[in-house]
Amino acid sequence: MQKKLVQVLIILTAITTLASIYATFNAPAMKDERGEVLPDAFRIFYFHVPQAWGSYLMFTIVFIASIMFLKTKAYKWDIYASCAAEIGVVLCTLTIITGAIWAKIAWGVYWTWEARLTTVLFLWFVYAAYLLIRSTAEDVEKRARYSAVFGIAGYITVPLSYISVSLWPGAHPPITVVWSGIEGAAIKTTFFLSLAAYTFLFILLLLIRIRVANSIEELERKKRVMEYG
Amino acid sequence: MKACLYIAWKDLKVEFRTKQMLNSMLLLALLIILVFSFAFQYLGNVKQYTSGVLWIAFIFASILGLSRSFTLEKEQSCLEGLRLCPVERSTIYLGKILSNLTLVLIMEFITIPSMILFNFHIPVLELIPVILLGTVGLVAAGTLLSALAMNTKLREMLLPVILIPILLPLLTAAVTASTKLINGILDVTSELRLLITYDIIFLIFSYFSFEYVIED
Repeated sequence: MQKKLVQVLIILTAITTLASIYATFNAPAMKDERGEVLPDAFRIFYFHVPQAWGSYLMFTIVFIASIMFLKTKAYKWDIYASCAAEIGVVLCTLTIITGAIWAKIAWGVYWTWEARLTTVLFLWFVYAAYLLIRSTAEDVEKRARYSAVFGIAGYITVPLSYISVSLWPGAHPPITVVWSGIEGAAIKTTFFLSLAAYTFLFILLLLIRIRVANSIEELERKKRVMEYG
Repeated sequence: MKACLYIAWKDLKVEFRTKQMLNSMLLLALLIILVFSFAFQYLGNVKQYTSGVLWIAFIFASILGLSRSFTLEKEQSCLEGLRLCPVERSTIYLGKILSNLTLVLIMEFITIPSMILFNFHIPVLELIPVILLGTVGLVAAGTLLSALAMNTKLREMLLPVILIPILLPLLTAAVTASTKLINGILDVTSELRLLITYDIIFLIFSYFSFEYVIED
């Protein structure tokens, strides 16, 4: 069943990502709220937003899988959570990097302490800590339990982080500039095509990562059997 | 309820026999104030960085105390004894919160006058709700994660790295509110609302998840 799903996803991902890359470089230029054409760098938008969305998706999976683990104590949930967290941190890092490249061109600086950016950075720290807990746990059972508790605690800070940083005083470049630019059928299609393509890709990555984790688990088990009989 | 008071009482009794923890927390808080005063002396306006210094001192001194709260139980298997008590796991958590809260509040209670002595401008009365709410959230999340960190290979070394990310929303709200109050802006309702939400969420979450952290 899962093997079939992976095969279907591979085909879907291949077609949609190719199409979205083609569309990304051929879509008409975006305009900002004043109607001025944005520099070509705006095209990073079609990578950047799916990455950000992907990291949120992965962290939501961590949250749900963590709750399920504490409820059922089934290790498959622990594996789901850990794999999603790893991919989530990678995507979060990529979001920050692509965002910085874009910000340099759009705003003239790599980083600004704006609510959305700061929240993403908070998220990155939370899930980096999650991975750190996993790597320092004493045994498999404790690792699963502790990281599940932390995975839930980390996720409930996300909405709070968003509120807290928006309380920050100071002038920030408006992020709405970009959103008002999604006008016209071609830009919309390209955007949703990329979103779909990269979502397929991230889910595919997750499934493959889970398969690897399962194989590692099995290998460990066999090793133990060989050592202790 | 009575049981959690006993647990808190036991912790405080152990602490006040030696006062080791309290003294080191206090010294660290004072040292932080000293170092930051040197670092920021060319900034000019003290009001601009007072709340930053205040909260950095509070956070790091509290982490020092919190990290000790469970390693102490680990010595000579005291935790086994606690676990054997015929009480709910969450009662142990509440007891620990009470004792930690007391220690942290004592530390803060001494740190603030020393900051005023060192020429920081602190409107104590206006700051009290912010500090209290901030401290409750800090201790609620800190106690849970301290129990968690104690069982990892890094022990208490792990605590700051995992606690501060979880505290970030609380910290931003507390620091923003304190900065406003220190600079004479009295409207901090949205920050206070956030602090209260954080406190409630973390008290409830830790109360229910504590058993998963402490069971062996």
